[in-house]
Amino acid sequence: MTYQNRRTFLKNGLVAGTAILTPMSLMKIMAQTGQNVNSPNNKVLLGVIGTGSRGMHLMQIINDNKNQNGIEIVAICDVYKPHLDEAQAIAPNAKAFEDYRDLLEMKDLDGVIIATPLHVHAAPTIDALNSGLHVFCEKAMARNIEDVHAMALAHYETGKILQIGQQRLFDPKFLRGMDKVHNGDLGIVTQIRAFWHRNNDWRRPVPSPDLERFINWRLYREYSAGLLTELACHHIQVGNWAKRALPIDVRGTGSISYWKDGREVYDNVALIFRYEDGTQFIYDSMIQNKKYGLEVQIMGDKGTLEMETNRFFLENPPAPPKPAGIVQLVQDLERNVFGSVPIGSSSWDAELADTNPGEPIIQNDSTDGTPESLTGFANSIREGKSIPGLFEEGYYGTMWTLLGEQAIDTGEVVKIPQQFVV
Amino acid sequence: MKVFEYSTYAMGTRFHLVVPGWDEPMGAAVGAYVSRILREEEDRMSRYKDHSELTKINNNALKEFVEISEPMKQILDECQFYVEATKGAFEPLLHKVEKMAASAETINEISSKHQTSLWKNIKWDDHKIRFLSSGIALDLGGFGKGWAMEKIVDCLKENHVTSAFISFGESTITTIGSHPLGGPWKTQIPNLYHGKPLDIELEDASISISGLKVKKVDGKVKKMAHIYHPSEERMIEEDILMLTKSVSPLRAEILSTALMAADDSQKTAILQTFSDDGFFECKGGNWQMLKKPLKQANES
Repeated sequence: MTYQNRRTFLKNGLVAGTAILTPMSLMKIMAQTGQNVNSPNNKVLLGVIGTGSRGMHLMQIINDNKNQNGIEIVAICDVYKPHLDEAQAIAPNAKAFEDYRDLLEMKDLDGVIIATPLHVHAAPTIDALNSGLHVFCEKAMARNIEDVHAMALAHYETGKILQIGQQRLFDPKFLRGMDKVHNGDLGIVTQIRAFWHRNNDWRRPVPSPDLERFINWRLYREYSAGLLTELACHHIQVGNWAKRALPIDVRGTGSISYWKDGREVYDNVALIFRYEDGTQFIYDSMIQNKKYGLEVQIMGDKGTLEMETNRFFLENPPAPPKPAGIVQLVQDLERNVFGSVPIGSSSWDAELADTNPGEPIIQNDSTDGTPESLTGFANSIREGKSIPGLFEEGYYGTMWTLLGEQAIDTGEVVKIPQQFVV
Repeated sequence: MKVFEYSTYAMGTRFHLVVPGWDEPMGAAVGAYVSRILREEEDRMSRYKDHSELTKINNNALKEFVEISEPMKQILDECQFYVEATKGAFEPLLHKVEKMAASAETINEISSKHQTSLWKNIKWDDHKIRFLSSGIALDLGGFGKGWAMEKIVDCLKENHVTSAFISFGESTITTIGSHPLGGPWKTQIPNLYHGKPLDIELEDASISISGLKVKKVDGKVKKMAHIYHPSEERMIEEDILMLTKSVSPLRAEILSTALMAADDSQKTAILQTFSDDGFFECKGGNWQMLKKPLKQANES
């Protein structure tokens, strides 16, 4: 389907691609490791552009899960020499570049991972797609909505895979949780609350003052929207995923209320997203108190999910089994019979745990989805096609994050401009 | 007759309330009050909840003074009364059995140790608590259900419930008023050993049963020790059940537990001090009355 056809199809039929992304399709793409992924024909050769902390983390995960992902890192690139040198230690056989355009000219490359600072996601992503390469780009997608949209156009027009690093899409507890939401286990979901709280200055050590903006790019508005693009983006995507819809508008406030150290991004934000069916998605983030940590609470009339901590709560937990004496007592009373109640023992040995603390969404919660998302990317490359709806999850996650920033900056209720609906 | 029933899990067991003459719309609000009481008290007294007030005390009171709520202060005061009144047979502490098992102390030495009960090393006032020695942890396992039941009975009466039957884990049973068809509620305590069951009549009264957890699994009787003998520093494994009947569900629970752990002198003191209450013992499947309650002598 061409971009124009697809756009017409989606606009006429569905709100967005989110409607066709299913947990099953994600599980399926992760499960394609039965084949020998490390055979020469199946290996996926990737370059990593941006080898700072996140890029190095992804490289380490790739190496640690080689048998699952079959990825070989054959090229690395960073403009900052110390980062490049550290990455070379993880991938000693990879060719090193300081200019990503040189890396894109490498032969036999299947794709690239983009883990540069946010404001330099768009250019290498678009150039890579136009070079015929598949791209795994860290979230958020880009610093402004025009760049985000341009990346989407490049993805649709080249037909190359563009996967955004929203790892919760591959996290088993989120996948199972979404099944519960979409199967109606929570009933009608009318409110979602999410938050991400930390208590630190969010600064990285700077070897020289002239590198302050370069190293601490997350604190400056030219490069980042701070808490919004670096943290909120994850949960905003989850909110849309749960609702299988896009918000109709967003409003919000933000401030620099604590870390008045020269940073330009808010250290305290609050957003409310409104959906067509009346659902409110309430989000907040700050970095001056960590008591509540992070959570996504999806609330329906039958149950609640707390996704980050892997808990599911029923509104009305099942009642315990009645002892025979109580059954007999009630029957006697209903028939106006005066009987003796055969009841009493040292203690009832609980056969079921108290359901009040909720139950786990999945057993063995051992991953945040990042290794699986990289395996999914490699398997998509092997198949030569994108997972339906996956890109759009990332696209709208970032788009609504940046619209949230606009709402805070302007104090207005912000809707998505029509030209940015894909 | 209409009957309202409310059942839930609470405090690691099951809770059942039966209110004759009430229907669902009338009872729903009362059920919600009961649920809230159970949650609040569990959040306060459970040692299995990370954030309960009790856990906070147990984790910190050796290092520093820990602030306590007014209800917790009342609980501690109540415990103090029963520790003294039972001559130490009731001691709401978590004991470490494995520590004792490894020691070679004689029973006499253990008894003398009992005279310096760890309970004395817990100090509190209106606002704070402190443990004065290590190895102490509060355990309100033999107290909590009765305490919650007292509050529930008060709540039900305030909400115009005049007749009700309540079972908390089947080991604590409370009645409000009389049976709707007249006269006291009749209960029959089953006997797993094919002996004679115990008939007890209740009218604004409670019973509590302590002993080995006993249940039939595949036709066989299975026993599980869960009560600690503070003076002998061991789990109680004797095949005994103790039943206390009292107007107070809290007193019934405390005294049935205390009797399980009591030596002869403590047992005598309990029976004399709590003369309004009735006490029964089941040994080897045979129930016998230790003392009739002074005001109610109608047990068979």
